[in-house]
Amino acid sequence: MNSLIKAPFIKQGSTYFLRFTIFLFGIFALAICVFGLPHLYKGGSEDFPAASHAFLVIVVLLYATAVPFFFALGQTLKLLRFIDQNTAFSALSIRALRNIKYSAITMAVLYLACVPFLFPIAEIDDAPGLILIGAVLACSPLVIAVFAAVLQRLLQNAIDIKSENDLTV
Amino acid sequence: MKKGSTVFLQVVTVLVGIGALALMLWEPHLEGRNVHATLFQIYFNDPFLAYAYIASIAFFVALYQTFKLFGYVAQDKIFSLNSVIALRKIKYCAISLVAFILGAEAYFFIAMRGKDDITGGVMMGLIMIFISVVVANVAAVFERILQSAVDIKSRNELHV
Repeated sequence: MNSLIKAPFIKQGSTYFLRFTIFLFGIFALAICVFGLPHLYKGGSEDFPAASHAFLVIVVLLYATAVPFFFALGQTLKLLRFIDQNTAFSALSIRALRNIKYSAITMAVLYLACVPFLFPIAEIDDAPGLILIGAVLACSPLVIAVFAAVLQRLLQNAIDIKSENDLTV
Repeated sequence: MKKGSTVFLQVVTVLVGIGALALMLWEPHLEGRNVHATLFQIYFNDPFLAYAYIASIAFFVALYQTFKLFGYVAQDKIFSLNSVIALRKIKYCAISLVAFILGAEAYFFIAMRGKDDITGGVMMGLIMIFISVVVANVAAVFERILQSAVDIKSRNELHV
C-alpha cells in the first residue's frame, strides 16, 4: 500500500531538501569555526584575563569537535544517497550509521572534556548555572548516538528479513 | 530489541514536550505589556496567544506520535502499518505547523507592520518553518523506507 494522500510541496520521500539542510549545517559550522571561535577566544580572554588559558583549551577542544561533526555530516550525505538509490537496506548503510554513532559519542566526550574548564570561568563570573548548562549541552550528542544505534539495529532487522525473503524466492 | 535505548529516547521526547510547554506558559509573563496584568489578563486577553496555543497542538501530537514510534521499536512492531501511519501523522503535523506559522507571519506583515518591530517575530517564525519542513522531510523519507520494509516483510510472510 502506497501513501494514498500525497503531501503538498514535498516530493514523496525525497532527500533533496535534507541534503540541502546538511550543506546548510556544514556552512553554519564552518562559519562558527572561522569567525565564531576566534572571536570567543579573543572576547573571553579580554573579559576574563585570569581564565584566558581555560578559554584557549575550550576553543581548541571545540575545534577538535569539528572533525567528528563534519565526518558525521559526510556519512549522513552518504546515507541519503543510499536511500535515493533504494539501497538503504545494505551493509553499507549500517556502517554509515555506526560511523555516525561513534562520531556523536566522540563529540559528547570532547564536549564533556570542556566542562572542567568552565569552572574557572564560572567562578570569576559567579555563574554556577554555566557548568550545569554546559554539562547538559555536552550530553546532547548522546541523543543522536542512541538514535543512530536504534536505527542501526532496526536496519539489521530489516536486512535479515530481506535476506530471508531472497532465500525463499 | 533492547529496551534501554528506546526508553531513553522516550524520556528525551517527554522532556522536550515538558520544556516546550513550560516555555509557552512562561513566555507571556515576559512581555512588556503584561508587567501590570493579572494572570487572567495575561492568558485570555490576547487572541494571538490563543492562536499560538492552538498551533502548538500539532507540535504536541507529533511528539506523542514520536513517543509511540519508539514504543513500537521496543515492542519489535516497527515494521508494521501502524508505524507508517504514525510517521505520516508526524509529517502532516509538521506541514500544518508550517501553515499555522505562515498565518502568523501574514498577521505580522499585514496587521503589525509599522505599529511594532516585527523583525524578531518574523525571524523566529522563519526558523520554525525551516525546522518543520526538515521534520516533514525526515518523516517522509522514513515513511518511504519503512513502507518498503513492510512490503518486503509481508511478501516474506506470504511465502512462508
